Amino acid sequence: MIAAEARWRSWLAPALAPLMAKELIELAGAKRTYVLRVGYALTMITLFVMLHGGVFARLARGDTSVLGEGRALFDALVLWQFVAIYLLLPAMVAPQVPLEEEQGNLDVLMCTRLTRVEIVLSKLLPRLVVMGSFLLTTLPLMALAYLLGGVERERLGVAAVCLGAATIQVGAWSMWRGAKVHGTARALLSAYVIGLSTLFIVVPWLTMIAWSLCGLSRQPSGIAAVMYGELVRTPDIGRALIAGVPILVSAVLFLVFACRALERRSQTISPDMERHLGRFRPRLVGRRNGRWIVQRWRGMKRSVPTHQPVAWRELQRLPEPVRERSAFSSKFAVWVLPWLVLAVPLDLSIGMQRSVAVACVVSFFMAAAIVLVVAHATGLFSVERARATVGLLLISPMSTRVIVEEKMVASEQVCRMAGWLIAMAVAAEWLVELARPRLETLFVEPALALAAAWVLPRLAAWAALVVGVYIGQRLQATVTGLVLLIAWCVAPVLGASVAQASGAPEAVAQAIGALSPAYLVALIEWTQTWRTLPVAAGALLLQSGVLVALRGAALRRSDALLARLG
Amino acid sequence: MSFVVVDKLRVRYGKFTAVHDVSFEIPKGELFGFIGPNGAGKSTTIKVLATLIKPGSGRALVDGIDVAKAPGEVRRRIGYVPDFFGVYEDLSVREYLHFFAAAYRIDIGKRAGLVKDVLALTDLSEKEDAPVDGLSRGMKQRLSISRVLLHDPELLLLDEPASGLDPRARIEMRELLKELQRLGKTIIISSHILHELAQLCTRIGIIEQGRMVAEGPLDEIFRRLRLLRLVHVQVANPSEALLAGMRALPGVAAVEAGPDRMEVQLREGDVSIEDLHDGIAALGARIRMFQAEALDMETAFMKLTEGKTA
Repeated sequence: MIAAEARWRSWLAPALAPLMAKELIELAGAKRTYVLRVGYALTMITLFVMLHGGVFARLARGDTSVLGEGRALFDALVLWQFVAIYLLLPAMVAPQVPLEEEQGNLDVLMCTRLTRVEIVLSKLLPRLVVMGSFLLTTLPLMALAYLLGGVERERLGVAAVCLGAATIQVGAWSMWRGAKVHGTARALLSAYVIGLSTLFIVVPWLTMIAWSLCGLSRQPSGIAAVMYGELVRTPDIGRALIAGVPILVSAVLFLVFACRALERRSQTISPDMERHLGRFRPRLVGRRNGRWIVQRWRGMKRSVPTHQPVAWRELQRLPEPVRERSAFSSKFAVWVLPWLVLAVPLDLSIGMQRSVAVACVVSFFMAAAIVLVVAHATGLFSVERARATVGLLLISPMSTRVIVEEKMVASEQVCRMAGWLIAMAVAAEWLVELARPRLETLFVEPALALAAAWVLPRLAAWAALVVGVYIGQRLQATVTGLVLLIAWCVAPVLGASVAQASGAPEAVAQAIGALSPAYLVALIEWTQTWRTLPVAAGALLLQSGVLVALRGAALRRSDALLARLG
Repeated sequence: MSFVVVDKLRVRYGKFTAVHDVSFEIPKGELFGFIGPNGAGKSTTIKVLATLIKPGSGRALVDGIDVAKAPGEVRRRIGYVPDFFGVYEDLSVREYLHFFAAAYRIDIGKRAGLVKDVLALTDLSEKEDAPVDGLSRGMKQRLSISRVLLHDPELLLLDEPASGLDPRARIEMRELLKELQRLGKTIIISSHILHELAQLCTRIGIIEQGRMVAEGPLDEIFRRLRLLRLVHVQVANPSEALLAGMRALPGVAAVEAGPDRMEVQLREGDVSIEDLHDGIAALGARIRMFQAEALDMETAFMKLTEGKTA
């Protein structure tokens, strides 16, 4: 008892930030923090050994030519650290405020004398400390790279500045999205899909304008990872610090936005309130010819089959633009067209052999579609479990197979709408390719891109459904789904690198790599040669086979699958 | 002067208006019951007073301070218990209160004594080392009240504090609220448990579809609605003449004779309970038992509302 009091007295003594102290103590006490840190270190070491083990083998053989190769190893390590920051930090920071709200603590905290700034910083800084501790686990590897020579002290400093700036910027951005959006899953999606895409477009653009206004052209961009690439050509810590100013300014702005969003949070309509107000709740107003007539809040009527109640419910849970083709056309098209309007002339003007800007758009839509569908499908059953309605489903006369099939109708709708987006972008790309017609880019590549847009999100959806059933808890299921998605993207690429390093033919390495959706999309959208496109087609066929097998297994074993929910 | 003043308060969520021109005043030390169906606007109004929502129009004052203009000052004077609140994992009751004492900027030297005091007041002293997560719902509610008492607020805003509690916990909660009222706190409490509010509250406000349909002291509302109050009377010498005399008393709407007692239906406001007692005694009745039922808030609620939500 005394120990407990002493512990709290000791950390509560600086009464300045009790919430931060609590967060730090909880994070330090959580086993998850240690497991993740060890996992992070092991991943980095594995990557290092797999990709650069040959260097040490040569060193062991006394081959002195490896001396001086430390620079390449160091830069690779820094690159992976950036990837880790952009992938992990939003997941760590964005759900913090929604979680407090879902646990019923946010209003209580807001009524204390803690200021909004204090709440935001207390939630953010401990996660930055944890992220920093992750980054520090690679110090031994960096020391090894340093020992091999070629890494100047200035380069170390520039790396530290850029990694620090990236951590602060991404953390601040994620905090803003978390404070702005209700619900953990929405916060995660907002931080990843909207957040990172905007971070890579709006911030560099504003930075460029700011530098121009200062009369300083050709200054580094406002993206820390890109800034590192620009600065290490002639490493200079002073220049790195100056270049980091826009990044810090953007981070401060994001934190100001986060505080304002927190202040106005109670004023906005949360998903619970939406449901309560019935604003988006459709009402059954009749039944005609075996179909329900559904009236929504705007008075619009539509009919859905009465024999698919679960599918109907799931479709109603989707946002209106995804659910309704008309709303999709009017809203999503408005978002998509500006991208294409910008990208198509850009591609036509740069005069390269293939489209670049539109290919970026296609790749981004493909990635966004897969992430969205994973986030949606992992929640299909965990939402039922959280609302304790899963029992009602299981005791209904419907078979488990039908339940699973109907649940997936909504994911299918998400895939379909994402497919429309991608198809629009592919059509724009085709128009660009007309300017420099080649057989493979006019016919093969669009066909493969459309096939990938059909197969990959659906495969991700079925895998995510299984993950959601196994994990049960919504947030954990979504995060696990996204982590597995990252693993699906990264592992085959590593396998390809290992195969290439061990002397396997290039086609074999490419075939292994094509199992990754990221690599597959890159093969289709970027490489586009007669050697790579068949590899991509083969990989797509394989992924389709996996999709059929996974779907079949999930439906055949639906009894056992859903028994886990009980 | 009233401690809480809400004047033509209007709150909107997007296009939806949750509270329409609600006005009421609460003098210091009163226990104000806020009644209404789900979605009527009770929680929204309480959240405005808790500085969590800014009013769209109108104003809300706590101790003369505008909640929209000086929320920090208002927060010093209020304690807010939301209808749904969570607890932090891995904290004991004492740690939980120490944490909030720090959040309320209470001097570190005073915290231990203060925590002991509020635990004693809410009868949680025996649980001070118990993990918060393992407490029953009733204990969590009492802990929540302990939390808001740490900085000794003058106004307590309790949003559905009795929801989900078992009968014992409800009685304990009621006693705690009475104790807090004795300590001079002004309390606003929203609840669905109407007869409990009738026993506790000095004033009530009935809200429906975001509009206040009645507000004021209980007696006044009953007078206004001309509701009947039931009084049970048992006499040692019942007779037809006595029954007829009682029916003729002013303010008496009806008298029904039962096997062992009479039920007198009294028009609220026309005659006081004491006058009725004196009138029956003057008729020569030897009164064994004279019991007035608490005012029938359920009838008032049903009469004033239509069961619609905002």
